[in-house]
Amino acid sequence: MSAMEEKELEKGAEPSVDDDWNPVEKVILERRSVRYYKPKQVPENLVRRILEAGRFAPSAGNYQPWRFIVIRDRDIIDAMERDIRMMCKMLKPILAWESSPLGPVAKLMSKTLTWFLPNKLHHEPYGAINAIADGEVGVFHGPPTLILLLMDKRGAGKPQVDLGCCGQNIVLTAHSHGLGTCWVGFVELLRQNPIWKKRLGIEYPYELCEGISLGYPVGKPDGMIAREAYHTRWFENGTMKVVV
Amino acid sequence: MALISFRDKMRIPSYDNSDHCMMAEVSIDHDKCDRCGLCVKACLPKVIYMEGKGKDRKVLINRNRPTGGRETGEANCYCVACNDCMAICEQGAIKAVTSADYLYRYKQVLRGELTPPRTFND
Ligand SMILES: Cc1cc2nc3c(=O)[nH]c(=O)nc-3n(C[C@H](O)[C@H](O)[C@H](O)COP(=O)(O)O)c2cc1C
Ligand code: SF4
Ligand code: SF4
Repeated sequence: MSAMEEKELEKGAEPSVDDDWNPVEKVILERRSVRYYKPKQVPENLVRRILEAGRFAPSAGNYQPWRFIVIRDRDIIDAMERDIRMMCKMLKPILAWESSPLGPVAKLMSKTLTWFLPNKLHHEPYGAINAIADGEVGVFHGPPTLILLLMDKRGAGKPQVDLGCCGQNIVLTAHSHGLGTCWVGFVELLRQNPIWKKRLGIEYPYELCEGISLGYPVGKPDGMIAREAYHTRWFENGTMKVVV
Repeated sequence: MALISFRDKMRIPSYDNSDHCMMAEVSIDHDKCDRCGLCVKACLPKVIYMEGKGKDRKVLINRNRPTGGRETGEANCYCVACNDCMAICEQGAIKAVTSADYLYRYKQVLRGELTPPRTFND
């Protein structure tokens, strides 16, 4: 990399000085995942108000394939965290093959699983599963409130996308009220768990899809940052240009 | 759009091999840092960690290879240039400067530079 390119990069990583954003853009651009919460509970009416934002998300065929579960009992959240960690501990010997007692068998299993589950075992979840197993990384990050998103498996089109819209409405509304959130995809590890399905009352056609940790953040985690700027193909007046 | 060759498509990278995947780069300005430790809490993959206690503590970057690494045997995941550390740091001491890079099956195509939000007003 040339010195000039390096300088460009440094410049690119500076926070935005532009303050010409409308309130919606501001919340969208400043939202960061929060992984450190104050113990103070979020008022019930505020949580319910935030869920309203989820209820009014767009969905294919207006099927609204979502339901919510709210958990505000520390012992339930802790028990879920413990069981997710246990799942990770069971997965670790077949994933982290370099340090696995199973040796080449683990390598074969790890590569095969990664082959068939390229998204679920993409680098970041792959690394996180092993780090959660070792107790280095937390699952929910100690929120006073946890929202679980359930998906109706019979949803129109691509219900996962609908759930994404719904969850993001919830997240953005929470941040607009000064709260912090973090999506927790690892709740998926409890999806098939019969004990948790019974305890949380999850039945067909619903399945556990995502978790959202919710609470008052410690410090000020929200703020604008730099992200990769991708190429966008732009067709207009019979020509095509690429904008960055 | 850039394409991934058939060979790349078929090949699963080894996550602990730095030729196959490189984690993003973060820089910490130790002169500005007041060692509050918030960035350590904000970083999911625990790339940033605090070493030492009390007055002598210092935030450092863990550059070990990810999980099951040949070199370390420790569980670690990647810095993904999420910049959560930069956002939480009130001293402006920290930022991610380059993105993570994956090869083979996860090769990033047309990945751009880290750029703050723009209004395109002018
Ligand atoms: C569907 C989904 C699942 C996620 N799962 C987790 C998770 O299990 N644990 C976690 O700490 N962060 C999780 N995240 C948060 C991402 O790590 C985070 O959004 C990303 O690093 C970008 O950072 P930002 O949210 O601060 O902009 C998840 C995000 C999404 C959208
Ligand atoms: S958040 Fe900033 S000031 Fe606090 S320890 Fe991290 S780098 Fe230092
Ligand atoms: S950019 Fe994200 S992953 Fe990298 S050190 Fe900062 S918080 Fe951690």
